[in-house]
Amino acid sequence: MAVLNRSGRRGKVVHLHPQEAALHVDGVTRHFTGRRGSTTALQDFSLDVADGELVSVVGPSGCGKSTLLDLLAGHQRPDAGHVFAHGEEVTGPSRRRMVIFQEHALFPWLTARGNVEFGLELAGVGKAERRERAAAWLHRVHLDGFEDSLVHELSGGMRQRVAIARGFALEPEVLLMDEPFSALDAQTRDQMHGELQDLWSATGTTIVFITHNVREAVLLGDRVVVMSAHPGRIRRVVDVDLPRPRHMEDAGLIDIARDLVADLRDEVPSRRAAGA
Amino acid sequence: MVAPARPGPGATAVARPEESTGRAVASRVLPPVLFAAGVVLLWELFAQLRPESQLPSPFTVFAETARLVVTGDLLPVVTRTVSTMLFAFALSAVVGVAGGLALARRPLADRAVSPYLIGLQSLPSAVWIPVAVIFLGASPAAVLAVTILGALPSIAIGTRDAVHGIPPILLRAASTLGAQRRTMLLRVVVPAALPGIVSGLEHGWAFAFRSLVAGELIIGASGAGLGLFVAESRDAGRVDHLFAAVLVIMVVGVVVDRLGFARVQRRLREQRGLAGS
Repeated sequence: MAVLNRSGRRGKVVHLHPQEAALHVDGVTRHFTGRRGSTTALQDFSLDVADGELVSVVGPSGCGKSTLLDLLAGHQRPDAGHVFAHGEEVTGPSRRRMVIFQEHALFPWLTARGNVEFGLELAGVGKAERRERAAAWLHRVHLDGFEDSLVHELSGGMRQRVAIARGFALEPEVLLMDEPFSALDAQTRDQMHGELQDLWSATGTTIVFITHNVREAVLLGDRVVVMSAHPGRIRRVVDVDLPRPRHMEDAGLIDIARDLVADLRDEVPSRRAAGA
Repeated sequence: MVAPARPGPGATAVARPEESTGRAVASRVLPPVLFAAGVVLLWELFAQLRPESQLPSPFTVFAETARLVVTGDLLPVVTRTVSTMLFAFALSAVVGVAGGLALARRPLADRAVSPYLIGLQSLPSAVWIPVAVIFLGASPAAVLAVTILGALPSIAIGTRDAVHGIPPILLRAASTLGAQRRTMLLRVVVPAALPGIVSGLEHGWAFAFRSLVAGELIIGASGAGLGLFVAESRDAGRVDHLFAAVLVIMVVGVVVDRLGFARVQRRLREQRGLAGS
């Protein structure tokens, strides 16, 4: 309990004016009705994300973190409450908020270049510029020479790099990442962590990074939002004031992660018991 | 915590021992050739041992088939059937694919229509022959109608199922990338469903071809199609011509599959890294 209180003090929920926040989630509730009855994926959930901030969201499975991402993306609408992006209510998907999925979600009938150009073409970017921007982004994710490779010819890490290039190429205000590295091997994941931090600081894109991996959340986030399950709520928010670029082995990072892991381990059974 | 690197869908198709071209050809060509030789041998034996069966010797059949082909006697017959087929199939493909796409995107319409579509698919299209004759007379139009009715359900069902099989994540990714109704359909749904749509077309082609030959055979009105050639051979008691027709129909079927559908399927599967390419 002592651990919980000490780190609990460190966290704070930032309340921004809806117009200032890149993302403003206001009292959102979302239910699902399945074969086993109704579940509350999110209950009275509020969160602000500042422009240019990188916020990690971590929690056990079933805590509603993927639902949160769907709501931010506009793939789902809340049953109650509102979601705003730069002061505008989110009513559907928009290319101002790109999503990077756990599975690469690339179009298998297109090449790496074709995938990156796809969104640009729909956005009305002319052919020459499209080509140039796709090449530039594929270069930034270290895929020179693989522009004409088909999706199935690329490794898992390369596919996710294409997906990241595809997302960044549209220069979105917000990048929503749903456990994008969880299917990669540890070495590739370490590389991706470094590259993502570089891209983020170079572009200033607001990023919401969903993960079930506490260390990854601490590694990447300016803030870590820890969620609890059944129903999905914010358990606590932790500011991470460690210098960047960060690495998985940084002592400070490991300390914070250890606290959070202990906290999550604590919370899951007790809440289950209380709820049952 | 470390998730194992999952093999991509393409990984299965990668490792294949290199074979010399000659050996590869032999391994492809030899089995069907040997099989045919065996069938011909048994056929010849049966024809020799049971002359009362009226079964012509395979060599008589081959000679007669070759004569029909070389003299060009069969040419108008085959041309007629193939052109009717192409016309009926093109029409069925357009209507069937459009209908299947519409059903896949409109659940209510799908619920309303699909039981009947399944019913139609399981109905032997020969049943339509008398119906078509009553409404359209013993005419080429009746043959055409039967052919189209044979092809449509498979194409529509194949297309609908192919669209239902698209991973939802692709559609979600496309919608964040800015795909709207029209671009979503043409640039995402159709290419994603293409392998399934092509299998639907392949089935549709097979059903249409059977329906067409049956229609020609029974209605007997479509000028000089293969089915009519069969009917005339039967009436003339030319068993060798009946077998010649069987051979020609099978050859048309194999040629269309090998040069058309199989080739397109292989290209699509290779491009997408699907197993079996």
